[in-house]
Amino acid sequence: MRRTNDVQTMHIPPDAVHVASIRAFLGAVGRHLGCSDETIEDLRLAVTEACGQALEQGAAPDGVDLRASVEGGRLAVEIEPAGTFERGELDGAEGVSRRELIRALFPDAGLEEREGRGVLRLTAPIG
Amino acid sequence: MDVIRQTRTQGGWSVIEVEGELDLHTSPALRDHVLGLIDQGARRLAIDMSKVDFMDSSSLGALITCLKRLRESDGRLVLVGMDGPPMKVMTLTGLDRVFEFIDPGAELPDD
Repeated sequence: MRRTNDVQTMHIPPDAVHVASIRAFLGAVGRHLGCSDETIEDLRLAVTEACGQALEQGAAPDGVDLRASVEGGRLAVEIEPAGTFERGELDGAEGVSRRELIRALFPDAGLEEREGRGVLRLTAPIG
Repeated sequence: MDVIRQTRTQGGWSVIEVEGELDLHTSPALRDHVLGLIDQGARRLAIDMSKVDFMDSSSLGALITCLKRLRESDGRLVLVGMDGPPMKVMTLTGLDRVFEFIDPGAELPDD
C-alpha cells in the first residue's frame, strides 16, 4: 500500500474463526505503513471487537469487510457491518462495553449508517 | 486452534497454561475447560497467561465467568504472567482491580 488513496480490503465469512485472519491482515498493513507496535496492537483489538459485535449480533450474515487506506497521513480503517453497539456488554463486567473499549483506544471511532448497515470507522497514527 | 497448552497440578493448585490468541473463537474453549475443572472439584486455579499475546473482551467475559463460578464455591483464581496487550485490555476495562495477578516464576499462594 502506498501512502495515497490506495484501499486495501479483506472479506471474511460470518464465522468467528476468521476474525484472526482480519487481525493478521490489519497488523501487516500497519507494519507496512510504519505504525508503532502499540498502534498495531490497538488496531488488532479494535477490529476484533467490531467483528465480534457484528458476528454475535447476527448482523453480518454475508460476512465482514475491512477496508484500510491512508487519509491525511493517518491509517483509516472501516469495518462493515459492525453491529449496532447498543448491546454487547461484557458478561458480568459492569459498565464495560465493546464500544467503550474501542473508543478508549481510538477516540475518533464512530459508527456510521450506510444503506442500513453500521460501519465502524477509525483512524490511527502512522509512524 | 487449541489455546490450552497443558494443565498440571502444583501444590494445591491446578495450573492451566494458555498460549496464542484469546478471542471470541478461542476463549470458549478456555472457559469450558476451567468450568470443567471446577465441576471436578478444583478450587484453586492458576491460569498462566504468559504466552498469550492477544486478548479481547470476549476473553475477559470468559475469565469473569470462571472467576464468579470459583467465588461461588469459595475458590480462588489467579492470573500468572499477564503482560503486554492482554494486560492493557485488563487495565482499560478496569478489570485489573477485579482479578488477582502473579508474576511468572513467583510461588503460588499457600492459602
